[in-house]
Amino acid sequence: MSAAGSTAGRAGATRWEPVIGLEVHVQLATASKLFCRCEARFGAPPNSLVCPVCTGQPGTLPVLNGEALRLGVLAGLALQCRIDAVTKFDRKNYFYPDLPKGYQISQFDQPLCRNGVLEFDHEGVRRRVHVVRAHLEEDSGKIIHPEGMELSLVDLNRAGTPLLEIVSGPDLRSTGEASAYLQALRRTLRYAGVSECDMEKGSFRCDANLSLRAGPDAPFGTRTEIKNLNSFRFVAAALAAEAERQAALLDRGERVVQSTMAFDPQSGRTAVMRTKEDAHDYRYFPEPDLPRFLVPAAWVDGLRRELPELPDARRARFLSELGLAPREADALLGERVLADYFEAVLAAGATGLDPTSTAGWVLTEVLRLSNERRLPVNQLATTPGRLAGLLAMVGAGELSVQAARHVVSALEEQPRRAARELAQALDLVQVSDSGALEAVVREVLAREADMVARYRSGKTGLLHALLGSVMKASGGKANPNTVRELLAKVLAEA
Amino acid sequence: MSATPTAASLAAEVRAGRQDPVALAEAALARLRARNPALHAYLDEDAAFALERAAHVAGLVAAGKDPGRLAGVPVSLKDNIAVTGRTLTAGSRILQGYRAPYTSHVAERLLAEGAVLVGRTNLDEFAMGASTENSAYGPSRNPWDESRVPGGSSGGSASAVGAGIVTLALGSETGGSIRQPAALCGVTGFKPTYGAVSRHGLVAFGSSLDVIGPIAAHASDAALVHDILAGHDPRDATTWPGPRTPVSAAPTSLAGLRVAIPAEFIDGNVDAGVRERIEDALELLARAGARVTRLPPGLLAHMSHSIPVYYIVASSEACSNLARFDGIRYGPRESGDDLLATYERTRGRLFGPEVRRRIMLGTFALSSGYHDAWYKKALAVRRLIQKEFLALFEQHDLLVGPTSPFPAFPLGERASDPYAMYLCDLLTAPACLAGLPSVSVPCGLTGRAGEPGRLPVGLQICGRAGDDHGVLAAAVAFEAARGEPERAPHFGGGPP
Repeated sequence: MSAAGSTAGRAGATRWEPVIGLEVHVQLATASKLFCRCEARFGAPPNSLVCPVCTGQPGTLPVLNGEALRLGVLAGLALQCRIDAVTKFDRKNYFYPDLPKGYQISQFDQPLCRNGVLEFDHEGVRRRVHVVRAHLEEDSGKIIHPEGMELSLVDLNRAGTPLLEIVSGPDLRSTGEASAYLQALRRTLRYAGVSECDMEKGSFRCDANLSLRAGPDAPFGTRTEIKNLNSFRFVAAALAAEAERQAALLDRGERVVQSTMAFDPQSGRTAVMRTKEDAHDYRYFPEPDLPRFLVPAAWVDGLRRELPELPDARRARFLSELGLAPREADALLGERVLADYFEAVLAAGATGLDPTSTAGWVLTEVLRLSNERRLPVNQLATTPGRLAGLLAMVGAGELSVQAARHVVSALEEQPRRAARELAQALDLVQVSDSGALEAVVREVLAREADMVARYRSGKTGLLHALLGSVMKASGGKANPNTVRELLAKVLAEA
Repeated sequence: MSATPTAASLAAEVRAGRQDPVALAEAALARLRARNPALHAYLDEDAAFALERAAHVAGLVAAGKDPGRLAGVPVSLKDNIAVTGRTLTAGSRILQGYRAPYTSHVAERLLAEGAVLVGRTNLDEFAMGASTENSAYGPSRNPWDESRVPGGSSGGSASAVGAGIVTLALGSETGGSIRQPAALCGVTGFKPTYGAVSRHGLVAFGSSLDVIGPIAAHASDAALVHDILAGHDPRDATTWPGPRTPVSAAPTSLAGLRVAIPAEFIDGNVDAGVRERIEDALELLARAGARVTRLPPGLLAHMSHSIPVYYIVASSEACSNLARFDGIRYGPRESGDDLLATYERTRGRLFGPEVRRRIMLGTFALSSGYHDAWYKKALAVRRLIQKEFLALFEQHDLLVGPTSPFPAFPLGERASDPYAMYLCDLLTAPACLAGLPSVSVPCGLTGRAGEPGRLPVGLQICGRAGDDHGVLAAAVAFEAARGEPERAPHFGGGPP
């Protein structure tokens, strides 16, 4: 990572502090498009999900998809935004072949959500980033330039799918922080169920604003905007490259020109697309085809109650109440279904499972199953209840960790049988009964008189070999802790 | 002069099996073919579609089913209202050859009532104009005098009804485009309250002003058609449910109605010939029991700004509405070396001069730096005009006056001077800006009986927002009090 990678910066750029704000476009998880009934789906054959409305035929009118409004409000609530009682749409006018009407229906001066905040931990430091606004708008289509052909093709399947544009304040001070903000935002929105936030499918896209200043108290410098960053990696790389470009300009005593930049992932550099002089004049005006929409406070309150516990609050609880390490907590929180699964296991374990060891099981064995079966964890045959049964046996010393791993695979293969039944069928249940085991211990010690003698003469390291012999004699089912205790006791006898 | 049958009575005959809808359609097509070479009211006769619909209605009657309130009645649609598979040129070369891929709400409603759609009527390009002289396909003519314009932009529909080719047509209005041509052609034209009738399937011009309404040979038929068209449509978010009592059920008496004529409606801009007929109409209203008041000047003080306000608001919306005509997805394309050149050529060559002028005007009014001084200020004045009307309707039930300051003018008289043409909207644009329902009913001809060159005059009756039925009922009552309107020469005439 380059100069902008850390807050302090390095070498030539030491003097410059990056100031970053992000605009994220999130595709809302509705079944249909924002203003017509066409299916909103990724990956269908080109121009198969279109109608007169979303292809901009003359005489067609937009009708707002109520579910998009609902998801937009949910997202706003998840970001602690104020939701005004009235919202309206505006037209943003510009010409491009992927924009069927020659204008995009968006929101200009009365966004659905404003003045929120996203909180997250970055490198152990609590960060609060201002969410200036979040507004609804329709997506454009896609232009395809077939290789070796003198033409361009337009696919309008995506045209009119609902987006929420979320604008942060200029509150981020490093590429690392910017990445952490994006991860936290993605996680929060996925928890709230408003979007899949899948960068590969284009349902989470980012534009980044960056300027440099001399220090934390210096005024903001001139900013540039880097457009269309479609992976987390590109966001970090583009910001780093742009910070370096600006730092070099400033170091030479030149000025940064306000402009829109494009990032080329191949060269790893940013280049000017257009400067302020030839910036678009979007000629915003209120969309006359849509009335103002009332957003009743009672409805918003109902949605607020619908919101699940959000990842930031859940993380705090995982750390303070369950004593998880930050790394484990973050790993579990990455996907809401995974954290839900984890909590369901704890809830099902009536005898009280250890959260840290349970987290370990979920993050290793359950994720392994999920990967092998290509199923989300909440669709595995190994339900939280069945796993809890297994972990209870491990906790009670009835199963070794090794044996329990075998049982996990069996749980998945045989959905109707409980952990105990499977462990017994596989003959993996540990013998912890001291009486039965003591007989085995005495028998082994009698057989290994020579080793016992050497042990007693001071070669205490032989205890491990004796333990191994007893385990072998038990067919591997003896509880090693019990055996260790018994060996100590018997060997201590005269 | 023999009375012309109403559409309602014609439909009754068809429903009773006494009239053959196919014969009616053929007769309408024969009149169209006989008169259109001189009038150019139609851009396309679309005979096959008309005959197919007529046969369908005949089949329903034969099967003992009721085809509806417009059974077998020939109705003509302005060529900016979509019907699947039919032309939809909007009077522009940029939509030459385009066929609508869906059917508008209003056409659905008409077809559901058994109407037979005959032809596609001419209009000013994208409904921008007051004479049809802005049609890319040539102007229509006035059936009263073929050297004169029929008005516009729904001039084709008004000319067709005025000539008696059909007794019913649909027009659309943004600043006066239904009422003014109706007045100039001597027929009834009704502009509903904004939002009373769905705009779904109407090629947009000024979206916050656009409405669809009937042009009819009889006021009662205009009321019937409005009954059929009005009401909430889930495909147009600006429609409202509205009272669903049919106009036919509303009282059609003028007795006791508080009728006012604002001074601003009949100031010095109004021709003497028009003024005379309006005075006659006021007398008639009073005789029929209305309480007629002449208002002093100043109550509609901001009405004088209607023309600039209207042209800024409508053009701003139009520059955005017409952005979709870029030659990319449909319509003819004039390719250039790159994307920008293709846009410039397609739009520069295929839009006519008036459309280009309004696109530029609207683009300017919305531009950064000018937005507040023009677009925002126009909206503010629009609200003032609305307020003034609202105040007047606290004291009065209806406002009346001339529809147009002057009768039909000769072709070419105003075509070269945009501002002279814009003055045609002087008395109609205010109701559009305020979203009010307003009807134009024939109230006689200019000049004296027996004089040559007499031309029709329209009386405008304007009501409260939402009181479409009150306005139409008053029009029906006025026509009943006056008797059937004078008809143009050769009215309803077929082939020689």
